[in-house]
Amino acid sequence: MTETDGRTLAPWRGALRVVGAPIDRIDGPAKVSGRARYTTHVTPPGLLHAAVARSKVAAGTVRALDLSGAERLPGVRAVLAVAVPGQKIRFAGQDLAAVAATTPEIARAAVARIEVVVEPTPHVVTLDGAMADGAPRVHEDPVQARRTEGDDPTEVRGGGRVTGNVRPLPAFEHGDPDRAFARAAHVHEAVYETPVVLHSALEPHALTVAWDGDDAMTVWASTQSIFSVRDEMASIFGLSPERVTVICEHMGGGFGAKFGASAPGSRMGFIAGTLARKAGAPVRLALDRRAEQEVTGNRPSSRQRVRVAADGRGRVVALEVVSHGTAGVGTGAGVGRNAAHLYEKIPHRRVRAHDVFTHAGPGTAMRAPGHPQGAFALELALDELAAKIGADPLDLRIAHDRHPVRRREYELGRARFRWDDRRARARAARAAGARVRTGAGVAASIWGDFGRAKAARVTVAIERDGSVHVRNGVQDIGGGIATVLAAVVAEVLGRPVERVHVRYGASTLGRSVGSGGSQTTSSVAPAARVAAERARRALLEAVAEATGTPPGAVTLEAGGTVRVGPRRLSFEDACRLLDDDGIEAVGQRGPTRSDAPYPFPGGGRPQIGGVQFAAVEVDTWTGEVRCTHLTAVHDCGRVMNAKAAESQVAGGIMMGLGFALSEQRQVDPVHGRVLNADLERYKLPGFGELPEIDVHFVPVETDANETGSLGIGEPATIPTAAAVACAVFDALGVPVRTLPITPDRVLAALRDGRAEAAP
Amino acid sequence: MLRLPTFEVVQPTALEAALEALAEPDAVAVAGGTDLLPNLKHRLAYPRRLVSLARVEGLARAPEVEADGTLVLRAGATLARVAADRRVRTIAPSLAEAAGRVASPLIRNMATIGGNVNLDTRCRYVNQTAFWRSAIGGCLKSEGQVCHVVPKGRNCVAALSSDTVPVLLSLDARLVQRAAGGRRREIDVASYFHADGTAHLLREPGEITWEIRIPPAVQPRRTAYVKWSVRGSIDFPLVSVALRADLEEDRDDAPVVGWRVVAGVLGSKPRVVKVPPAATGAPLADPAVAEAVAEAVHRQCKPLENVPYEAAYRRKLARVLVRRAVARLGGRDTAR
Repeated sequence: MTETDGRTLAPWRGALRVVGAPIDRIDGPAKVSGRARYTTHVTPPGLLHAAVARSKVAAGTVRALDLSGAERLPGVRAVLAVAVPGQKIRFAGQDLAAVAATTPEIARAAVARIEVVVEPTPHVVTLDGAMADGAPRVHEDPVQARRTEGDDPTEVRGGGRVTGNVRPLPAFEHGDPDRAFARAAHVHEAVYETPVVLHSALEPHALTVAWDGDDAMTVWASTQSIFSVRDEMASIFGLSPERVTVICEHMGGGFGAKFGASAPGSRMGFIAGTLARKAGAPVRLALDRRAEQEVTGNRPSSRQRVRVAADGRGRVVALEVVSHGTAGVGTGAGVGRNAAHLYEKIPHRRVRAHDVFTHAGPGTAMRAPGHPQGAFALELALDELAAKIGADPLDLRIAHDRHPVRRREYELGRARFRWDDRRARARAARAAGARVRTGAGVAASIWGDFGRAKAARVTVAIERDGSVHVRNGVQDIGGGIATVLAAVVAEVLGRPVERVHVRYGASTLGRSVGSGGSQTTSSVAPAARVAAERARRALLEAVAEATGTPPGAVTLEAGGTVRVGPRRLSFEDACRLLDDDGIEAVGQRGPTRSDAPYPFPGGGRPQIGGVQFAAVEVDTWTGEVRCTHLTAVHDCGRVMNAKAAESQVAGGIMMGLGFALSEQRQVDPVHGRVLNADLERYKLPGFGELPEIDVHFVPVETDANETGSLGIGEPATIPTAAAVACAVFDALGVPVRTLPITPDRVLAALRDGRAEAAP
Repeated sequence: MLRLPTFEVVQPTALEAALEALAEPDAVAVAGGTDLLPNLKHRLAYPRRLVSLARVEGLARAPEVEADGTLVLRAGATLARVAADRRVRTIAPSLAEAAGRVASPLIRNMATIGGNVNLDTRCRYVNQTAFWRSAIGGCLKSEGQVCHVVPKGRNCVAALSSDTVPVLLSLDARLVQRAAGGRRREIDVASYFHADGTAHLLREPGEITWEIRIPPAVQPRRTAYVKWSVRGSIDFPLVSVALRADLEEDRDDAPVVGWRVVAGVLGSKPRVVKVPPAATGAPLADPAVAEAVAEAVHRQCKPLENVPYEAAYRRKLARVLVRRAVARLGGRDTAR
């Protein structure tokens, strides 16, 4: 394995010493001891605090702004009009004006003195309302879709012509669904709904801007993409990107809404940068929880009419999903890849999704955009069809899936989860009319490897004192990329992980990728391996030269010992032979070389699978649903850090459980305001709501990149809510077709479904 | 994050000093602060001075039992302490249960029993930021003149959200209130509340709750606290019912001779449910007893849309949970 060119570096085979083991995260001690500095902990001298005046109404036209009250308040250093007279207001919370002051309290007091006259116009915040004839138009002009690194890069772009508030998204069609439905023996058709849910990262959007002269700035940001913040700030203020330094050392969570210098519904970068320039002092703009929940993006809702048909021999022959959802004033209320591509053995498939504009904060990418919604409707509809034709849901899925790894995952899960037992027990409890029922459900994930070539430049340095350093400008949003970089370099150089120092989280440390699309690990880890292999070769060459040994006779042994002919040197002793400069090697990832084990739609990249099995307990008197057990069987190529990978899956499951059982944004239709823009009434699950979680990885050796690593962050959350909904259907014998599955909906489903036959 | 307004804090150690400080205009007492501080962040009050009760001597003394069997809780005892206290668990198990189900362990370590008795009422249109409220013009309890829960309503219906108040009422507890100048009075918990969410406590100006006195049981009894919230922890109750069954003898299967049933989270005061004679004369395990109590709760308790969750569902749930709680007191398995 001496080739170190990224394009020809041989893939790792078999078990490794460090990579893939359960490794403690290197940022753990700083985080648990409180030493970790998050964005809002950074306080440059003279720091001012910004606050933003936001629209109280959901729709209207700005008629006048009077900033003088704010300007006169002592302690206020800069005031900025963000909206201008004549501008349309399209959602409550929209930016109107901003101030920077010496304390957050003064900034808020100043905002309260800003007088903005908004002439209100009728608003519409519900899907039905927005689709009704004569509904107020949210956008008069054609809409530009906003895309970020959180979106699937292979998704077909564009949208159809807007009619009223409805904008069609690119359609998918395979085969001839109409003909297939007309000839099918069994057809199931129903409507499935999912609510708008909120990212709810514990750390809100925050950014601090410090100008350095008038052509350079330093920005501290809570971001999923340091370089997108850099590029957007450079573009807003006409700076060279090289003159913008962006720092994000630690992150308190990002699930798709933290790309670029602006939040999806607030021009944060423009506001903080302009106030800082006006005031001649650094400015911090950190959102409070209300603004965070109302204007910084959300997962759009969906109302999906699903039709699915089987022939007389139990084969599913046709599938159609027609969906309408609202991303508020934004775009992207699609339903992901599930219906189009998960069950490829269904010969006829059609997906038509639509954005429906409403006067509410914009949607944006949220952990596998579209997929959890699409999975829920598709998988529950499939189970309803299975019940009609007397098929086992698990067998039905395996029979229609072409992905060899996912088929294996279904079988592994069947055994680990004790699928057959649990289904039998559910049947017995149903038949007995037990008050507390149990149920089992299964659902699948589809995602792609979006790792990118040459997107990250990783530097590996070896110093004369034997220390090893890794540098890259990637942000660690919690997925644990910094620890993965340490592990990869430790592996190549035969060092313990704790002896590899990683610097990350700053744009000055080398170009890197945004953490969206589950691409961080598969983009950055390979570059680290390439750099480490180069550093290793340079070290051995230097040792050979210093000792007058032929280069081929110097090798690095597993424990980090350097073998020089018959002699053995410790790693530290070998490094003492280096020049003062030590060694510095830079690596980049090569292009994706393989789509094995199975291609993602469109080809050229691997498809990532994953299946989850949920067991639930449902109290038929109170309607309460408790998820008691969740078995997750996933693949992500070669696992880099078993601990972090398991933690990603557990986190994805927790998020999926909230989507399944408790989370929903509630907007008051009369006032057009979010009723639960806080963490008290917006019900994120707590530890008390968590089931027993069993995570299992199917190792896949893929040559896609130099480390064989693929993504896991998003696949981990796609099937959870779907599996829970299927399990509830199993428990009750009647489906609950609306998320979240709240107790009242369970009771309503039992009441309405009594006449229907149990599966 | 939301910021606190500016105020002064005094931390007296003597009760009389605390009461004198509270006699000043615009002074507000703060014990654990878990209810008051979020409300200040939401600008639901602008006190000039907070008088901390945390260091007041004797206020946090451990629960005691007096010679006649009266259980005495000092108002400064934390909910965590009340929930864990051996005497409370023996004499008033439903109170220990209710105190132990408030919010989360972190909050119970700070919050006090006196604070929970004096907890402000809550409403989905009130406990929002000042800015949010300004968008809808406020309401009766905040800056406005209208009610968004009961359109055209003249009376604020913000919900009594304390877990312990219904239980204390069911146990016929009395409060000892202290005020400056040596003023001291005792009042029944039942008389301390008023059906007006903007001023639901009959607390006199400058007064604090000093002691909570639970009289000894005159009759053998069984008690329970029924709470439902969306999550297993953190949340305020959405259904809250305290049950006390007085028995002929101290046996689980003895006939019930009387009931004290009190519901919270309806309007601003706890509701004492009138239990029909059908619920007495038979043991707790008799399904007819459970059914009669549950029916009474269902008929008399009509939740409003003042807290999250559909009122109709909460009403139905109260019936189911009460029926089960009664059955459980009688030692009956309710799983099937």
